[in-house]
Amino acid sequence: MAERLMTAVVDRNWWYRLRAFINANLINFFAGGLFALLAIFLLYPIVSVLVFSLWGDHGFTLDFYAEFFEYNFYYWSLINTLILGSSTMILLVIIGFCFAYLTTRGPMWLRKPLKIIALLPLAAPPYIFSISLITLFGRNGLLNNLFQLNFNIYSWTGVITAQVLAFLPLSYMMIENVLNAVNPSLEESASDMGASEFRIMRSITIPLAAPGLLKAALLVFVMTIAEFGNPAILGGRLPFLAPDAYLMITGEADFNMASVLSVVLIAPCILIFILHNFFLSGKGYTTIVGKPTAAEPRPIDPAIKIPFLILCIPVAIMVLLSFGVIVFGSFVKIVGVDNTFVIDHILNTQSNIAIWNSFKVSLGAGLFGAVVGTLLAYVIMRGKFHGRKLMEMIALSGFALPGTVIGVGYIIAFNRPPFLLTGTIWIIILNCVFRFLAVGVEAGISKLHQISVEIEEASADLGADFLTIFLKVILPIMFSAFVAGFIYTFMTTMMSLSSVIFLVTPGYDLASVYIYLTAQLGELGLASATTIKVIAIVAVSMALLKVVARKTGLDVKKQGA
Amino acid sequence: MKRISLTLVALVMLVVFAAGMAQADSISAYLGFSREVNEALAKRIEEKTGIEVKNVTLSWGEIWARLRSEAPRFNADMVMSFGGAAALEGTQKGYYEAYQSPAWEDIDPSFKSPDGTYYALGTFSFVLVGNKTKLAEKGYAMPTSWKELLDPKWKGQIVVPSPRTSGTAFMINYSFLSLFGEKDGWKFLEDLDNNIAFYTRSGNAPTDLVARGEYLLGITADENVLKRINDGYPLEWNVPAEGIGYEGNYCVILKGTRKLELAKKVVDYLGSQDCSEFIASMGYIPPRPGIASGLYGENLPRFIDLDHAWAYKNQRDIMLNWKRKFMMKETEDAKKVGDEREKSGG
Repeated sequence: MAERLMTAVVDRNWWYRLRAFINANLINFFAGGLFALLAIFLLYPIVSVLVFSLWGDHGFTLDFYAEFFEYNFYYWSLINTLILGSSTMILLVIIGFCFAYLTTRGPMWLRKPLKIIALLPLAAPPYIFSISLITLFGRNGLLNNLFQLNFNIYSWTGVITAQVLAFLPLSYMMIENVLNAVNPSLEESASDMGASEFRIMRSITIPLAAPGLLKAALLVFVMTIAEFGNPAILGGRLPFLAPDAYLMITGEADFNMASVLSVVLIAPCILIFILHNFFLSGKGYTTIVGKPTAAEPRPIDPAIKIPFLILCIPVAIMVLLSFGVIVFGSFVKIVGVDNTFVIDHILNTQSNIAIWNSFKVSLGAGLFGAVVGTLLAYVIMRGKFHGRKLMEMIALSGFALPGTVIGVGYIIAFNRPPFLLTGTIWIIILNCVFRFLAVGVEAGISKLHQISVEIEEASADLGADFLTIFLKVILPIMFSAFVAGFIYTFMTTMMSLSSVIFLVTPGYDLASVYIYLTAQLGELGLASATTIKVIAIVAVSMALLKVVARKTGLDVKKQGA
Repeated sequence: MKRISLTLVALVMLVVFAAGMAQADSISAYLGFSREVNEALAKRIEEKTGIEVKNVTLSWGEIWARLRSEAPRFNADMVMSFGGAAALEGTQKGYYEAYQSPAWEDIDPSFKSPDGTYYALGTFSFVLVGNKTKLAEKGYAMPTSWKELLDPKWKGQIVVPSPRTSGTAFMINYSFLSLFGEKDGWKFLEDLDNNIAFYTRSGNAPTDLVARGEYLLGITADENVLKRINDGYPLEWNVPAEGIGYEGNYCVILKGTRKLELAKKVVDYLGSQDCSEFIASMGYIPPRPGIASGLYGENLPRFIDLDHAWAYKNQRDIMLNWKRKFMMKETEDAKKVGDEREKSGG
């Protein structure tokens, strides 16, 4: 009897020791695994590209960098890129904030339509906005002719407008996520004590949201300077780094110079990242301590509402007009030239295989990306090992690199052992996962910025081990970040072009590539119709996601994805 | 309920990923014509030879970028249609399988390499396009010689692809250098630059911009012109008196293919009378003589005498010179515009 008791105790000891060991080290295991993934699927291709920028026909050389600084068109394209990035960033943070403020605190009837409009551009490839803008405001555009405007769309105005419209969802999603997480009771009490709406916003909402706003700004900056479609189509005589890097490969077949441009393109991103860390250090705001209280919506002060609306409405109109042109374009023979109604574009079935392939790839990338992104965010925020900042930086770098370069990097890196992946669907999925990781990671980090460690510590004090805490406390809180990561990766993958165009293999066409090729050939009707079909699929998927979420008891809407 | 839904989701995912691919008599190829031509070509090859062509449409630059990064393990068996520079350089690098096809024996040697590494399926060119409606509005006639484009009345009305980013544009530029001689050629390009609104990134973009009435005139790849006119755009085109340049649409078999026999059969078909007829109907000039081209008709247009090998060899120098002349200028112009704006604004 006594002997049996002894064994039990020893067993329990052994079991406890194992659990304690896992408890103490699990986060490090996770970190190790994630580091390995990042190293293989981001660093390795990036390093391959870096090598290309330093490796000429006769070995190591700095000639290509010398060439970059020798001719002013190269560094002028760097300056233009920085101007484009910062102006789009400033505009989008302001506009995104207005949209997010109105959809989280504005009048109920406004919330849904504004949110839908802000997210709508996700469903179309970014360069669709150039095409809409040319159709509307080009020298022979619909509105230009109608109102006799003398408006030159092939200019800064055109490029920035297109970029703002294309990246509105990114900024909006990030900022909305943050504003949702700000505990309303703080604003409530300030309001009860007589603070004006402006004062509340200035001294509570914005400071609390500041880390999130900065993150949104960083992502927008990085994404805009890496996008090549709009600057390429609307840039006119202005040189920009990203399209030039892409087109140096497709036009001059000059890999080396393209790699140099890409490496130069990464530099401002690293700089921004360092600045961002500098500003954020010591500003760990915490508002969720315990359960957030559900508050009655507070009526928003007209002094805020009206200027916000004045900012949002023109943007909303532009988004709707752009999509109006796409819808219109898919039902007429040639937009602006022959406006007779036809249904041929929609009935065209050639695009369906490509759309189905894209759907599979996007689903895979979305799920995998959300899991990796959430885990990364957690490890970065809660881990206690060195190199967490480095990890965050690597995770973000997928965004900073122009898709073309990372696409080529993937071919160089994964077309030989030990990672022979080219020619499979997996390389496309992995490429999208690691390129679009940043949104999931950043959403997760913003969320964790606001969750006090105390909740986790309290559970630990009550005897919960790491796994329990992770599953019962962290995952539910981070679920909205998970969903944000999934939705963003899913939608961007649906429309991502610049890097997958190098990875699609014969017989495995993707919708984005199909739309790009048809649009390139001026078959705007077919391109528009395919876009419409993709939008429909994305919409249905999102609706399904909501149903599943409701059935599983996780309310996506309330979590504010 | 929660479990069931999650299981359902997992099941759906499995089904989605389990969708396998059936294997038939097929080869895979990178195709570099425009999408419609590619689809039609693949269909035609399957009809005539029974070999399915799994394909992906890419631009020439993209194909070349892929070959360079994929070598020596190519993810396709063949390339159908890319430029001479890539055909030559790839041959030097040993990317292609040499095959002396009997079907190509009696075809003009300018359409094939002596050792059988590459064959030209056809050739394409560049032409001058104009917007009928807009020209009529202004009361201008379509120019009939390249020199007429230097008239100041066209200032800011001409769009041309940029050789920095478009293979077609490189051909346009060295055609002018060959036509007028190197010195006068650069002078012509400089004068032309005064009238050019901007250099487009893609070789086909001027066709679009002019068809939509954004600009009056464009120098552009001839590939989409016919299609755009058939679509109903008010587009007109001509071959100016001095003639036009040309470039082959080359095809190769990639080394290391496991389907060499099938690829050889496809190359044999590409040399046939039937394929030449198809290529001609698409608006290209086919390797076999006496077939009317869909765009140019019975009589071949006047061609400028070109030394392709010279151009490929000097590509980097020509490009650097071009950038120095026009890109530097562009940025100075941009600076000037910026300064003026600042003055008027402040």
